[in-house]
Order: sequence, then C-alpha cells, then structure tokens
Amino acid sequence: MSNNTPNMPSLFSFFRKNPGLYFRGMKNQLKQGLPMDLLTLMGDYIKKTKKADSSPTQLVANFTAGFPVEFLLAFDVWPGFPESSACTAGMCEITQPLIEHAEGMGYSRDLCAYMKTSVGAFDKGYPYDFGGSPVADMYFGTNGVCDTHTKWFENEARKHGRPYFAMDVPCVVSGSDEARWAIDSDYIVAQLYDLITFLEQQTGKKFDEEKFMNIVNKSQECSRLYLEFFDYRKKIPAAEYFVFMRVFMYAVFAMWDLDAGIKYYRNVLEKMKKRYAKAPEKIGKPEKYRLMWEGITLWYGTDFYKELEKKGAHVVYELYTESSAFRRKKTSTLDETFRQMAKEFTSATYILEQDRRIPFIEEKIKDYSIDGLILHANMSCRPSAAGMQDVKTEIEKRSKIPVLILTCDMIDPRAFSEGQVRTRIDAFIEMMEENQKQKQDQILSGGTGQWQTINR
Amino acid sequence: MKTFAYFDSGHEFPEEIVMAAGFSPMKILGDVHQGTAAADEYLFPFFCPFARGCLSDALANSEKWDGIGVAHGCDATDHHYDMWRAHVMGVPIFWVNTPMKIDQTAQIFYRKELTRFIDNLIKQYSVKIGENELKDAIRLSNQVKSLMQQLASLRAKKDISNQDYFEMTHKAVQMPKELLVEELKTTLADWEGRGPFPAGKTPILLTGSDVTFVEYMELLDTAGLRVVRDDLSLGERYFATTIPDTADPVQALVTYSFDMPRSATRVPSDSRLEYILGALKDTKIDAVLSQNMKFCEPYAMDAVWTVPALKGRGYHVMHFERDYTPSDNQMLTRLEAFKETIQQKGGRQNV
Repeated sequence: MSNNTPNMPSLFSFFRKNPGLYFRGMKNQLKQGLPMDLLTLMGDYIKKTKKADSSPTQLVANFTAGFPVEFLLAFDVWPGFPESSACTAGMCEITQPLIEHAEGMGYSRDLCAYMKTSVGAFDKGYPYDFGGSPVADMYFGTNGVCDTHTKWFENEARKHGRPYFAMDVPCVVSGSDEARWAIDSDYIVAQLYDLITFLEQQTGKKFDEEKFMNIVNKSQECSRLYLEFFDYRKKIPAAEYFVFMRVFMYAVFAMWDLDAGIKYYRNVLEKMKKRYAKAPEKIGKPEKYRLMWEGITLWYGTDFYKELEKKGAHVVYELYTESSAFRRKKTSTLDETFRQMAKEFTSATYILEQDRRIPFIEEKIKDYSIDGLILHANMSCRPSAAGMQDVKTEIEKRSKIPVLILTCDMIDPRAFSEGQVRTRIDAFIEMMEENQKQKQDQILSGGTGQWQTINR
Repeated sequence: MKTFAYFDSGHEFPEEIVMAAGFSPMKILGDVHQGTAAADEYLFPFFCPFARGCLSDALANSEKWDGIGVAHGCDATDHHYDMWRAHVMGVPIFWVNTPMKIDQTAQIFYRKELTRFIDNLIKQYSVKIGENELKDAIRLSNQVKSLMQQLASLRAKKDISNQDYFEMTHKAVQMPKELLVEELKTTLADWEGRGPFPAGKTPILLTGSDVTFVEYMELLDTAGLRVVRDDLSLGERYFATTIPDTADPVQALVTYSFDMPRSATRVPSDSRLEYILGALKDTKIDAVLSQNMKFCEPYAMDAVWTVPALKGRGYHVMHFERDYTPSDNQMLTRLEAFKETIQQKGGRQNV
C-alpha cells in the first residue's frame, strides 16, 4: 500500500550510498552463471513487489514459506516473500553484517539467519534486491516448516501494528495413523475457512470461489511443469544442478505471477526436450559423482558448489527444491482442494517424518542414480537437521552409498569453515571413488551394481 | 503405582488423563549432572540441551516407566519425537498434539486430540477412563494447584529460598499426586511459620525458559535475587489457574489448557506479557530477570519484544542466555551487577 515502507530506498540511491556493497553483490550474483531468462524472472518479482509497496491502492501481504499463496491472489493481495529476499542477499554474499546487525538488536546468535538477515536489512534500510522487505498491510505465517516462521511474522506484525494470521499445521510424527490424519486434516481445513474470513475482513471483498479455483488450477499446472523438469535431472548428465535449481524454484514458490511462471517453465521444458533430442552429449557436465543434498542450500556457497563440480561431483537432486512445488494433484471442488492442501502441508519433502523420509530418500537414490548423499545439518533450521544421524545410518546400510553430514548454516557464513569442509569433502569423494570401484568389480565378477554409475 | 513419564517443553501434557488411567504422571526433566552424551548420538549439539537431557534421561531410565507421552510444545518436542520412538526401547510412546493457536478452531481440534489420546490409552492398557475417573483426577490435580498457589504466594512475604520453591515445583510434576498433597500441606505449615522476607534480598520476577536444575536457583539467591513471581512451566504456569469444575471433564481440560498463562510457544503470545505485567503489579515488584536456555528459540524470539516492552514501562529488566550447566560463576557476576543496578535506581530491597 502507499508508502508502507518509507525507509526502503530505490536501488539507485542504495548504489550511491553503498557502491562497494552493490558491486560485490552484483558480482556474486553473476558468478552463479544463471541464464538471463531466470534472472529476468527474479527481477520481475522484485520490481513488482516494489511497485505494489508504493501503490496507493494495492494491498501487500508478507508470507512465510509453506503458506498457501493462492488465497492472497484470490483477494488481489500482493504476496511479499521476505525469505526470498534474504536468499537473494545470501547469493550476493552480503548477509553477515545484516545478521550481526540483527543480533545487535537483540536477536540471539542461535536464531534463524533468514529472519536475522531480513530484520537486519529492513532496519538498515536495504532495498528488496539486497535483503530488505516491505512493511506489509498484513502478515501470514505457518508452522508447517518450523515454529520460527510463526514467531518471526508475529513479531513483525506486532512491530508494525498490522494484522496477523497464523496457520497451525499439526506436526506429523512417525507412526501416525489414519485416525490422526483425519483429525489433523479437519483442523487444517477449518483454518483455511478461518483464513477466508480473515481476508474478507481485511480486504472488504467477498471470497470468489471460481476465481480461487482458477488460481489453484494454475498453481497446479505451474507445479506440474516445475516437477516435470526433475525428469531431466534423472538423465545422465543431468539437465541442471543445485545452484540453478535453488533459483529456478522461485516462480513456483512465491507464485506472484502464475501465468508468467507457467510460461517460463513451459519454455524451459520445450528447450530442454529439443536439446536432449538433438545433442544430449552437450548438456550438463561430466558427472563422475552424482550427489543428493538434504537440507537448505548454502546460499553463500556458490564457490563451494563450483569446487565440488571441479571434482566431478554434481548435486542432481535435492528434497528442498522438490518441496517447493505444492499443488501436485488436480482438484475440482473447494472441499477437495482444501483436503489436498492439508495433505500437502504435512507432506512436503522438506519436513517428512522419519518413517517417510528415509524410504523417500532411498527411492530417490535409485531414481537419480546417486553416488553420495550430503546432509546439511543446518544450524539455522533445527527441524530439518533433526534425525539426520539416523538418516545417515539407515541410508548407508540400505543404499550402500557414502553419506556426509555437513554442519553449516544456510545463509550465515560464520558457520562455514572452508578448510574443515574441504577436508571432509575430499574424504567423501575418496569414499565415493572407492565405492564405485567396488561396484565395478562386482559387476565384472557377475554381481549387481549400478549400471549408470559404471557406464558414465 | 505405575509411572507414566512425559516429555513436555511447556505445560502442555494433560496429566489428568493418565491419572484417570491409573498412572502417576512424571515430567521428564533430565539431569544436568549426567549431561547429554547419550542423546548426542542422535541429536546434534546445536539442539536444545534440555531436550537432549530429557532424551538422555529416557534412554537411561525408560525401563522404570510404563508409558511415555510427548506433548507438542516447541520444534524440539515435534522433531525429536521420532528419535525417541526409534531409540527409547521397551515402553509405549504416545504423541499428544497440542495446538499452537488458542481460538475456537484450535479448541475443537484439541478436544478431538484428547479424546484420541484417551482411546489410545484404553486400547494399550485395557483401562477404564470414564467421566468419573477424569473428574476424580481433575479434583486431585486442582488440590495440588490450589496448594501450590498458596505456597507460591508466600514467597513475597516470607523467607522462602529460591531452592525451596524450586524443590516444590519439581515435586509437583514428579511425585505421585496423593503423596504430594500431603507433602504440600506439611510444607505450607512450615512456610507459614517462616520469618519475614529477608532484608538485603531483592524480589524479582523470573521469566523465560524453564529452570530445571536447582543450582541455577541457588545462584540467584547467592546474587541476592529472590524469585517471588515467575511465569515458568515449572512454576506458576502449572498452577496459576485451576481446571474448571464442569459436567464435561474433557472440555474442562481443553478450557484449562487455553486459559493458563501463555508460554512463548503459543501464538498469539501477547497474553504472556499481560500475565507478567499483572504479576508485577499485584506483587508490587519492579525487576524482571528474563533468560533463555542456549538454543531455546521460542523464548529467545519472545525476548526481542517482551524485554523492550517491560523496559518501556519502567521496569528493571535483564535478559541473557544461559548454558545447561550446574555451575556458572561468570553468570553470578552479571546477576550481582543487575542487583546493584536495581539498588542504584531505587528498586525495592524487601517487602
């Protein structure tokens, strides 16, 4: 809404005040080697968020990951996504002073670094391109991923004196049965109706079911296309790797413009189909080791992923990027849609309970011909780090591949010790090398091994 | 009596249901002296040390228990449950999903959840949990809460050390309730006969993460700080309100759960500040010690707004993070400095 965020400067005035920071950020963004159409898509979201923030009539809402954005779109409310802005700051490798600034404001060192980046960037008056976020007209949080989300946005809403809606997603634990699921589902569905009432009160508009269903169908199509791309990552070599995917997921995650997202994903898929049909050998990079990554990416770690690639190790599958696609099943009625959403909130691949998580990883290891698994024990995201020791034990036993636990932080570079990580990666690569040799020997002696691995 | 242990990062677990099933509820509190090594095999060192202490406790002692309940409180209870289920052997483990919100929709959910928990206990142990059993359990529980209220109110008037109070809050969640009632009555008579609030001690309100080991309370006393009010789950949150005496005992438990002083894990948490302000006003004290255990996210998040809100109202407030360790002399220096600051600014010395 008009002048919601009076202290957010334009990119130009930010550049004039902080030329060194600006150039460092831009340089680090560019070194990722992202294609122009993807950078344009990201830029479109930033541009439109700024426009919505300065519009005298446009309502803006800030939401956390996992929140059903379709409801905001159905009420013509602009979806602001501060986490994505924090991620951008992470890619620019400018988060440390922002995090330290937030800690100076009273935020503990042990709290989520996305939150601290966002809070610090806002307080220092950084634009959306560099971690800042608009003051929204209303705030939406959910604990589907973590409790921090709900507390973070409750604090923000309180600070700015704006209304807040929290969605309580019951935690699914191992051993849950259908009876429990029925109770959880009823609770989530009831809250979605509460959400409609809340939005009607805040916007003064009536809920338009037809419009909502149209939006949901589009988000379903957007998710379908996004997930179809994963099929090309199963190929050897894979179509794209982690540094690309973590930005590629923006359109399906933030959902600010579903038509543009559908168009973009469709174009990428068409190009990919043609490329694989024409010259598959020119796609991807020589893959000596195909890796799976569990946990959030190291946003500041572009060099780290490049180092891996130099060693022939490429991250070809992540549960994190797959979890950003929500509307996986076509629905035709409101009730069916709400039930489906309830299912999705408790089944995102990022937050699976151990009963589902371990077999899911095991299955993906086969699907993507994985040679090694890296578990990111993320100090900023304890829910995702919980259970990783058991995942390591079980996957090593079941899938017979090396598993490495890296204790770092998704966006706080202070938790990344380059020398230690390098030593551990080298040892991990050696284990994969040894593993491949053993498999090859097995096959040559008439046993079974991974066909793709030895034919690479 | 059989023991039903529970892991609860707040005061979320419905003790009365397991009491109605014939068990003695016992809150798992870990043992700071034993450390967390056993749990560290399954949980990273950057997880809440109290939660790791509780898992270590369960790994060492579960054979003595007849059941374990884990109640949804914070991310630790939610996401550590699977590790409990995988590694704590020989005892049935139940999950109780208390809602984060406190509105009507959440109440309907919680009622279903409690009913499901009751059904699961009946199925597992072949026990009867009817209306009468629940009402008897509620009556006994309310007796405990009422006696704890009387005891706690003496802290501002009498010479009740922090350790003495801690010991009673500890027993309240760990002792069999019938025995506890007798112990509370004896203690009440003892405390009523104590001398007045000691000169030289500064009365404070203690808020934040639960204090689970006595050495921390001793440290406060050594620094001259006497806890006369608190909003801890091992404290006033447990007994500040009683369970309504209504015809429907399950609904009474739902109402109780939603009416008790809020913890930082619930949203909205604004009423948590209201309780603190009310306590400060009622007891006429002006100093607040706010703390959170290392890695305790809910209270670290809340401190960001509660501490300035209290300071803005003119209260003396100190906030800090503390470790899971029984001895912390560096902390003593800070606590003594806090007391001196209160004195210099004209804060109350005694009642």
